[in-house]
Amino acid sequence: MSQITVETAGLRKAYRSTTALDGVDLRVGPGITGLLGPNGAGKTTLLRILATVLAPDGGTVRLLGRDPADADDRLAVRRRLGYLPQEPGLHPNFTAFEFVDYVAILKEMTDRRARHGEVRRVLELVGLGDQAKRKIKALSGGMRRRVALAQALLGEPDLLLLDEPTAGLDPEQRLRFREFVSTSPDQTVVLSTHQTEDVAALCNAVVVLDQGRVRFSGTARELSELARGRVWLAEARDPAASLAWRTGDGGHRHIGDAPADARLVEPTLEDGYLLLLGRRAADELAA
Amino acid sequence: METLAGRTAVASPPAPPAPPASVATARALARVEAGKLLRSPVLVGGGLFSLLPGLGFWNPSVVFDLRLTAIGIAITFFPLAAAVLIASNLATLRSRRHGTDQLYESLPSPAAARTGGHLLAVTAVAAFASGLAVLLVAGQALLADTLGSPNVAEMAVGPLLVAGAGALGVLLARWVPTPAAAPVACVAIAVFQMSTTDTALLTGGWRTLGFWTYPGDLPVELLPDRRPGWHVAYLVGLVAMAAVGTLVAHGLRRPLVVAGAVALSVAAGSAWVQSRPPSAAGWAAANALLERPGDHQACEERDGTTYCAYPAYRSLVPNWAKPVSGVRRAVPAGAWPADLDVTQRVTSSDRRWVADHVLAGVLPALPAVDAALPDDGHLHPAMGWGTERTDDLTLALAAASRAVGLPMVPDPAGASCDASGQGRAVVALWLAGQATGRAGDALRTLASAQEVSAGRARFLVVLQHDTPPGVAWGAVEVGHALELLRRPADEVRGALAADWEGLAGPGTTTVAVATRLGLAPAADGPPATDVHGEATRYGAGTEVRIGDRCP
Repeated sequence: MSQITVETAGLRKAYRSTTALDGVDLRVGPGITGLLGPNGAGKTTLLRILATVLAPDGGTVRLLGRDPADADDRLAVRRRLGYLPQEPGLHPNFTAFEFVDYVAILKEMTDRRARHGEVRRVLELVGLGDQAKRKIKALSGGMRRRVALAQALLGEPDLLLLDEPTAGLDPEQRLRFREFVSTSPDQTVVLSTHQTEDVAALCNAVVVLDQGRVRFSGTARELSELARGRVWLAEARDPAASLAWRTGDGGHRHIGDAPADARLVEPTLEDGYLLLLGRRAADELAA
Repeated sequence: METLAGRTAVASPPAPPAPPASVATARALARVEAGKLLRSPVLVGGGLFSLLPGLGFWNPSVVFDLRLTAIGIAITFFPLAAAVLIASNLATLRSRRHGTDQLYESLPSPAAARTGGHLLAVTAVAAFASGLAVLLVAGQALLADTLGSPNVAEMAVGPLLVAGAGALGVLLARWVPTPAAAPVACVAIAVFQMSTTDTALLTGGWRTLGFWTYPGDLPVELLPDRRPGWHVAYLVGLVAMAAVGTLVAHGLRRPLVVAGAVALSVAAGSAWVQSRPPSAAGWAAANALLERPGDHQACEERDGTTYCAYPAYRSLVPNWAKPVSGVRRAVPAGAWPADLDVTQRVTSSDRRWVADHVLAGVLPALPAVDAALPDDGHLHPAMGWGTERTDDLTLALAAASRAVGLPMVPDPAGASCDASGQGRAVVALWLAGQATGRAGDALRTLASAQEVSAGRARFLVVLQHDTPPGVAWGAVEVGHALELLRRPADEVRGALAADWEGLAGPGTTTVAVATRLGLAPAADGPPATDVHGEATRYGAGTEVRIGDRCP
């Protein structure tokens, strides 16, 4: 039987008059779980609660078998947690090594030699081994993202929460990211992203959030299957489609109730996602 | 509730290994933060601003009083302390400024560990400041002539200010988390410090609560009951209070309450002790130094002259002996005053400062304080050497004046007598100018600075430590003396030995001396404006009135 490492029930969180999470039920185990959703869906809020940075207004949370509402349990969770915030806020005058080393100290790695070895390891893992001595302000946006990612990987955490980890990374770096994020089968990774390709490539489970609620929870394949028989190609735009967009070869891809003579195609994860969430999600993906 | 197929919850996972303490985290962070603090441009700038002015004032001819050097370290370090306050504040605010708090809050180490790291880092800077203080004092002791011994407690004030400022910077970051708070605090501290004047040392009261108390130009001997140990305890208490106050921002716990109470007790108790006015015994001791210097001085003989100095100043005797012996060697043996001693005294200006404050009711009455020094026929060098570039000249002129019978102090009305037209003035000026190289240089420099050499001033006034002299030297006499100084000293010495009475007698005119020594006739002097009775300011604003002809 597989174990559940992240479990929420009826999770709620509001910011003044805005409801960020409206009764989220979630069960996540080892492996990579993708968290999809449009802007304002509540993904970042959910990750912040899972990272024990934010307390929910209601509902329950259990992480790695512990209740983060309890101070001792919360500390125990943080010792096995790696978190990449959406905007990590790096120190521009620190070198890459110094910043990751600083976080390592805060992760209670007080043995200097061992800590420095671990810092070098994670920097190599994200491809910044030769940039370790450069100041962060001198690094490109993608490199800074990788510095932030490196600190999350310190200590090989049992639970890794990544909020938009591939933002700003070029395609090669995203491929590389896919390699190292999926190294440990016992690790639980929750990955919040807009990049459906990353979810399709990496995730064995997907959760779709919209307006603070779970709209889908299942495998990537199941999400794709939602669009089975409802995705077709045509030369011209079909007004009957729920969603349609121009493809690279000049034709149009459609999602919706396909006409009888439609040229149906194999649905992708993105098709399933768009079918689920409609125009708003399509506009965001296109942006 | 949706479930992921085939997955069920299990019991709690195995407990993690025993956690390392937050203290270890704070120490590890402190090493990183200390390195960053010490390399911070703000700190480096503050350090340079602290040290460079002192280097600019370096004068190899000054004899440094190491007791005053130790006291002065606190002022020297004020810019460094201000820099540490700002730098530590910025460092503690770093996570807030760069938006890293959210990430840090997900980490196992609590914010208190980070705060502890910042506080511990400040101790590294304080240790660096301590080393710097030792280096400054040792450097002076090795590279310059010094007197006295530095008080370790006084030396500790500067590094404690640095530690306190750093702790305050961290405290402000936790309680008032805006970068504007630190500079405002620096200004507030400076304003508070300026309100605690140097009279605090002599009167006690709340003004002793300033972070440092500098005695101004007063000799250390006039500072009864300075209590540096209690001041150190007061500062230690303040530093501890700042550290406790910082950690309280993360929650009030019993150990912090206890530590805070102890720190407050130490600070308050020490403040009370040091705010007490100097004791009667302390004042009596200071008074005795003024009233009966002979009871407290040690004497030695050099080249036939007796020199007496307060114990800490005995190393100045060779400095006094050079100009005095230089004058004595040029005076014929029988003409030198046999009873002339050299006895150190607190200067008239310092005595006047004390007397004024007694009159104003600020200081308790000191029966023996009298601003006007009587002319007892002896020479009275001051409590320092070298800070006045005319020290050699002043003492040499006093010896020369004594040798030719001119007064060494102003008249009872406080006026300097007019020696113009008197040949013995030429002799006295030459005797002083040839006594040492420094004396001659000072004479030439002063004559030029006061435009006597240029013929635009009627008198040369050589102040005696901001005190009016006994004699105002006429421009013609100065000119003749400078001409004599250009001749071989042996030649002039021989002429004096051959006819001392004729040249240095009280009735000999300047014209007669010029004729006998073959000096060039005086050019038409400055306009015959009668300056007698007028007060003219010299030096740092000392008022000099020129009175009647010298007797």
